[in-house]
Amino acid sequence: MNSTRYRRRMPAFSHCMLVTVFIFALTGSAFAEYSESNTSQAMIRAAQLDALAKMASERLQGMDSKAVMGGRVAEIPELEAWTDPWGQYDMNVGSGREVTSDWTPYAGPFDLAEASHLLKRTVIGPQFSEMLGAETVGLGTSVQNLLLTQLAPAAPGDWATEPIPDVSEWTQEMIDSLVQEYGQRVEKLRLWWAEVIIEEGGGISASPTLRESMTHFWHDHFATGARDVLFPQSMYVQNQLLREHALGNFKELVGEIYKDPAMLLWLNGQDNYVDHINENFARELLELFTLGLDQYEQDDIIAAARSFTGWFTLDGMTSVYYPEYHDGGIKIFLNHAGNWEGDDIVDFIFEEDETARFICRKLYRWFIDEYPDEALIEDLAATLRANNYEVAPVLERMFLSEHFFDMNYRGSIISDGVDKSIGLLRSLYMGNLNLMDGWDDEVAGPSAWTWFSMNTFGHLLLDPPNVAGWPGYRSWINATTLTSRKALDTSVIDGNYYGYDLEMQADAIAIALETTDPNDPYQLVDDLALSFFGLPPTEAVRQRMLDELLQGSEPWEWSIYNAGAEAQVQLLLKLIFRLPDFQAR
Amino acid sequence: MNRREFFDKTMKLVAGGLIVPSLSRRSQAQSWFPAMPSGRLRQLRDLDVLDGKILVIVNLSGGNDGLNTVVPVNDSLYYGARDNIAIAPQDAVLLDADTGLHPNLAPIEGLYTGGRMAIVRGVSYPQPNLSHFRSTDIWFSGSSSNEEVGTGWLARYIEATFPDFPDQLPFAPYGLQQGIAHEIPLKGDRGNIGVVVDNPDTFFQLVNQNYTGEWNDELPETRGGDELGYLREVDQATFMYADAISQAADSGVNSVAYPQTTLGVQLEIVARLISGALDTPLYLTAEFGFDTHVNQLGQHANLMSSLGDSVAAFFQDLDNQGLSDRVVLATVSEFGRRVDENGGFGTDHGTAAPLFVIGAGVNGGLYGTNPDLANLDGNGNMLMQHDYRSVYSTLLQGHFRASENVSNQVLMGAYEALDFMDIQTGASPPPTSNRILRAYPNPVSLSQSGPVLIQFELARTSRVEVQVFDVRGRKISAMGGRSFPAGSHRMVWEAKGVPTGMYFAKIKADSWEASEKLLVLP
Repeated sequence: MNSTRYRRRMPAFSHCMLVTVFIFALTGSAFAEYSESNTSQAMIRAAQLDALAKMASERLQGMDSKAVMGGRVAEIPELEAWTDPWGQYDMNVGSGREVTSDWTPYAGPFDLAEASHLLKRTVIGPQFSEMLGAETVGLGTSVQNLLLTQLAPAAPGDWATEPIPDVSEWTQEMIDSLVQEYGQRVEKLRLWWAEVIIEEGGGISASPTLRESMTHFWHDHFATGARDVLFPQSMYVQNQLLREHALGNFKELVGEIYKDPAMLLWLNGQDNYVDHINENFARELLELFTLGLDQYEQDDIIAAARSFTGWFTLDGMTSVYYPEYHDGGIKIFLNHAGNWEGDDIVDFIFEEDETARFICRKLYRWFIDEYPDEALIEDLAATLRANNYEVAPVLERMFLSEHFFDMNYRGSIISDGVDKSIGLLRSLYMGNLNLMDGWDDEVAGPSAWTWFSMNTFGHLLLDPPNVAGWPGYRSWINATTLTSRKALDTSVIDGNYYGYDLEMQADAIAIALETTDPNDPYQLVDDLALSFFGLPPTEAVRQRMLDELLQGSEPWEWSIYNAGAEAQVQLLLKLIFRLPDFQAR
Repeated sequence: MNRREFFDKTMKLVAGGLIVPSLSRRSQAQSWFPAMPSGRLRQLRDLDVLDGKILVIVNLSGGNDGLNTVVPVNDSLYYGARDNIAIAPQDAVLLDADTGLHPNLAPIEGLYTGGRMAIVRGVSYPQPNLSHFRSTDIWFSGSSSNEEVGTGWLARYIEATFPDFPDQLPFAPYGLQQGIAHEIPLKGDRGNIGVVVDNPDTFFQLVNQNYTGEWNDELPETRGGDELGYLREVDQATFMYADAISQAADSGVNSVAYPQTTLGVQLEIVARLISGALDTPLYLTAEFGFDTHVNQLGQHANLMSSLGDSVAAFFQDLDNQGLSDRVVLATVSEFGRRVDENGGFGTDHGTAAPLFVIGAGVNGGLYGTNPDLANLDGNGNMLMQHDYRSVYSTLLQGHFRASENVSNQVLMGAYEALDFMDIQTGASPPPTSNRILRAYPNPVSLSQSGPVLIQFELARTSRVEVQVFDVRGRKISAMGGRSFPAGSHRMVWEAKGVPTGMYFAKIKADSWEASEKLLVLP
């Protein structure tokens, strides 16, 4: 069977086996699995981490659509958890629209419309004030600002780097409680990332960068699920790795990711050693991370898997190399024969022209449109190769191009769930929500709203549906997700969701006051449309927005300082969130 | 406010499990909703497509243990392999000398003895995959284990049957899915044929409250315009379907109590929607937790209870309301489980397993043999007797009367139909005269049944008008006034909300006319 295209991390068959290994680990007995080779302490430790992670995920799986929250079980609709991950790699599907622009530097006007387009495509939840700022400084400076490097955000807490205990002498209850605690910390880690996204650019006034959008891109690309990794420490380390390389070098990042602890646990690197080859990571590396399907043979997968042997994580935060567990034989990878190590495989992969094309297609989809034009991709890939796989020059070229500002692509990206969850809060200037710490309070406040909206929209950060990442594009939208986007997003304007006080509420007046002329109802409608829609509204939609704002009064009667103005802006914002136009950017 | 309550409530609002009576649209949010459709007439799908039939799929998610579901009570190899978790012969519900059901399936024994339940044994596919995800995809897509198909077999069947889809959307969705939102079942090559809705009441509340109306003004001829067009389409279809589903949920009733398990709640909703004459032919439901790796006995027993009690209630409900003649329910599961129990008093992933097909037109009985436990595959798993696509092919041809060609096209290959249904493909011969076939239920009890189904036949294409009058001759409602093709047609009359008493349904087709007396009771 052609299992190469199936990307779930491992057959459940070996799941069972590893749980058995874990039981051995608990009782201190010999490892059935590891007995053939030297059962060093290190290997026992490596297996223990692996088994712990798998035991936890097995338990979660047994509950199917349930997830553990606060030690309690709630039913969670896994809205997009089962979507087809393959469609997005079909290169033969075109949009049916002619491509009439290319990477020639854009020389047209850089008005508010262009500034807003730039930020809506590069920042998660851009604010109108930021769009005005970008317009003021112009295209060149705006792109330079987007590419700026920032300091790493502060760690979510000491727990993010807390050592993972040796559980071999632990009782089942103790292990259960550790697993539960780690589960809670993963929830907090998601919310910590949400805070980092909201604070992108240093808060409300400063200029945002591409960092979080690109960190998110790499997370979607090297998609790793906390539900199977278990350790919040590992997820945090990976998240920082992605952030550190967000605007860096693709090849270096791949060179790091094969020994990343979370990745070792997620794609069975921990279970891949000499004479015991697990090809899971090698397959996904070639198929999903670098080359794409049909660029290699099954033998190349095996050769790569053998070359990656020897790497383990013993603490969930760093990785170590044990030469005695490395397969020292000759491997033939993409026609190169030798006793290769992991880094050699990475080198060979990056000698292939296809690698640059592959990642450029994904960048194109992330920032421009679902249907990349192959000639444009070839051009972009050449830039990437010419810059030794530094990503920033490619991004810069994209964002400065005629093609990026081509009217054909305005509003052609369907907003993802994070956009409509965390991004919404950011775009409404809602900071200091205390999302991570608020999780401990177990109240229906901002933390619960953020977690729940991400999950309901099928986009829970740190838990992609599978290693192929979120399928994206039109799969974001179905009857349930569209309806819940509207309901949850409007609730932020009311500060209330069906009787539940969200303990946060967007300040409608403040939002209006950030626009160019809040006392002109036409301008207010247009600015808010620009802020929240991908396309300018049609005349009918614009009229409806105006009617919603004015509530039967005359346009000349409007002032942001009128007694009822706040309620009227709230109505307008809620209408905006309910219109189909709001779902594209 | 507590987070757990918030999650519970919001999940119920969005996609959650239970129907909460206090949240029902009648008691609470009256102002959000259109007036009750009392006395309204509407037309259902013509009977020449899908034969007016309904198929309910019950997915036993996680891989149901076939050996402990349909037990080989005389097989010493079975008892030898399962020291701790076998079902003892004296506990099983015996179907014949060698075969018994799990004791908690006793509630559906009557469906078996009544000749309405087929048990098809040894169902799988060549080169079975032991991954939950992959194998679930295979079962839902109706494909082989060496190919990947991202569309559902039922969705492809709908597309083959309705070439206009999605240019012409039906009043009600073709498919309604509950439980987990697996994408494949409803996904066709041309779009989604249905919606995922767990709770018709709250779904409509949410949709209706957030709908901004239909936008038909022209969009730019750009990629952005393409996507906004798509978003508007989903928005409108969601609204339309939510309305249809909600109306049916309002009109329909349940006549029995259901177990409040995951599956019980879902089947309760399905029965209510069928009772309310929702014109949806496909329902997908699911029960979870069949992945019984450890301490299987208690967990599996609970699941069997849920299955037995829910399915028994479902058919009792349909029988009470005279609705069971159109409905077939079939169970599926991604795989069975290993013959040998494992060290944790559970079983690991297996292969072939039995499934149940119950309902109208099913030739009850046992199909295939009890598994040959002396002859297993290399992993200690049972061998296939029936390809699961043969079961699908039987449902398509026997239940929906699809042609063999269509069945082959949908299943991407020829899979011989099994004997558990009679195959009568092809359209029925056209009627030779105009007549009202039936008006059912009649009398209609407003508290115990849903709308009245009026079925009539036309010998030739005619201009048709259907009207309902009260006893004083006042017209309550009318529908039609346009051309109907020859064949069998169905209308429903929403009796709920009208005063009790006598009514007349009158059908005029060109110069022919006939009427039927309808009695509405409290």
